[in-house]
Amino acid sequence: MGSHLGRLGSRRLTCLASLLLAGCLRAASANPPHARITLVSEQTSIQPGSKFWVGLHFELEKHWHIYWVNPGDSGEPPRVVWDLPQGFRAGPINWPAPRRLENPPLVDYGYEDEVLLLVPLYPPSRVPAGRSAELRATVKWLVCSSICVPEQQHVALKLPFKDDPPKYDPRRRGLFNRTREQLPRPMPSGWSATVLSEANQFILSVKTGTRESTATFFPLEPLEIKDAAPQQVALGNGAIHLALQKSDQLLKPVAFLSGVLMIGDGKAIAINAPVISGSGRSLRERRYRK
Amino acid sequence: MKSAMKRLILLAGLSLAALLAAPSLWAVRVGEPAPDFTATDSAGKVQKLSGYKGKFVVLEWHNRECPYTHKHYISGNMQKLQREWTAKGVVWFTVISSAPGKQGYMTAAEENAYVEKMKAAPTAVLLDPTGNLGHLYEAKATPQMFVINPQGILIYDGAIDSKPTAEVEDIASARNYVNLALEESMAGHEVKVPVTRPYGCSVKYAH
Repeated sequence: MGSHLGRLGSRRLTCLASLLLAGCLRAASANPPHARITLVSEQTSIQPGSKFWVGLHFELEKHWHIYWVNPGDSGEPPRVVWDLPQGFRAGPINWPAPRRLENPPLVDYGYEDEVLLLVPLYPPSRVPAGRSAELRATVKWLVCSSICVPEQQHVALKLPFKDDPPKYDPRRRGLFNRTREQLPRPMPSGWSATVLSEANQFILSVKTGTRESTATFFPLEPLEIKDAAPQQVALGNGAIHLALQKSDQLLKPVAFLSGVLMIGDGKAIAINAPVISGSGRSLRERRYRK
Repeated sequence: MKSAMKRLILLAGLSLAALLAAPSLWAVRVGEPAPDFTATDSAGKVQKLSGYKGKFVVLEWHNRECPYTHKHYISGNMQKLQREWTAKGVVWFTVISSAPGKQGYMTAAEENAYVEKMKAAPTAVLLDPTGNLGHLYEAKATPQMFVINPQGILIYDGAIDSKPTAEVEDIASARNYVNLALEESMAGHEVKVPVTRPYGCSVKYAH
């Protein structure tokens, strides 16, 4: 009860503070939100013309989750609409590797506890001296536990322009660095990935030259694999083989299977593997082939 | 040579494992016969899909407390679709697969009162508290929509429309996939968008 009221109180304070900047969307809402977000910057000032990183920091109520760019069987990813000063441009969200969220009989892909969604911002190269920039965004997301609630919030952040090389914000640096560790990285040199398409499954084979203890694949596109099906893993010497059941909703052959491979030590590897047709072409692939 | 052999054995193992893990023989696939079912509706009547051969059938997975379903009812959009298509001879089943104690579970009396209050107009509401019908169709979300043609072939499986939000103002500018599937199929054309990712809340199954 105490923490409930405390939460509501701090929420009102945030609302009051942001009211001055961007208005408060949730002022009239009866329930406290299940996710709270803050717009944070990795550095304390903006150098004109130099890309810098900001993040949407989600802090979630215990046992609630939000979703990855491909949410899996259910759910929706967060969406952000930027309202930036003239001359600014925002890049796409860089999504940290998700977790498999078991919700029998479904499986979703998303985040629990907290997550930072990284976004690169590109400021203009010429700005009047001594000015600062007001960065604003409206963020909408779906947050779920046993039930789902759509939520939204305005966020804002003011940063000064400085010609000097920017300094990192010591309060935020750890969070940004931790999050970068969770971003999918390109395949190490010497690795290769291919996919064999069989009647009812894809077999993803990744040559690594290493011996890994576990492997899980997260598809970037929905409706390619059956999210809830267990992934059969064979970890050979120097290679990972994963059998991924095809989605019943997959009607056409896919040329590339893209996604994120999570391996034993917590590394996330970006996969974009060409698909080779296997022996048993499925009935429906034949039917839909033109 | 030895490693190639090893790889073959590994792959063979994976293939066998996938066969063993195959969940059901009754996969629900667009272009194939929709699995037959028997279910009791909120009026206490037993409904059987195969009893409606010769008619188009729409299945609408429903949970009134899901914000995405709510969007289509509070706006009157779902009721309008139900009214328009049933007037053209389409059979429209609203299906509730929420388990007792889970969000969206309704007794027959509660559901009938809701239908009346919301002026909903489905042919019938199928009560599926065991989740058997939901599992048979592998329904994942509310609202998820299926369209079955008069030959009993599944012709659409997916979202109700192209805007995956809980906001009423998005309905007007969205492409309604159920309308498209029914219109195209009734005109004798192929359904151009036969599969989409259903958006919404997960179906609140018992397990």
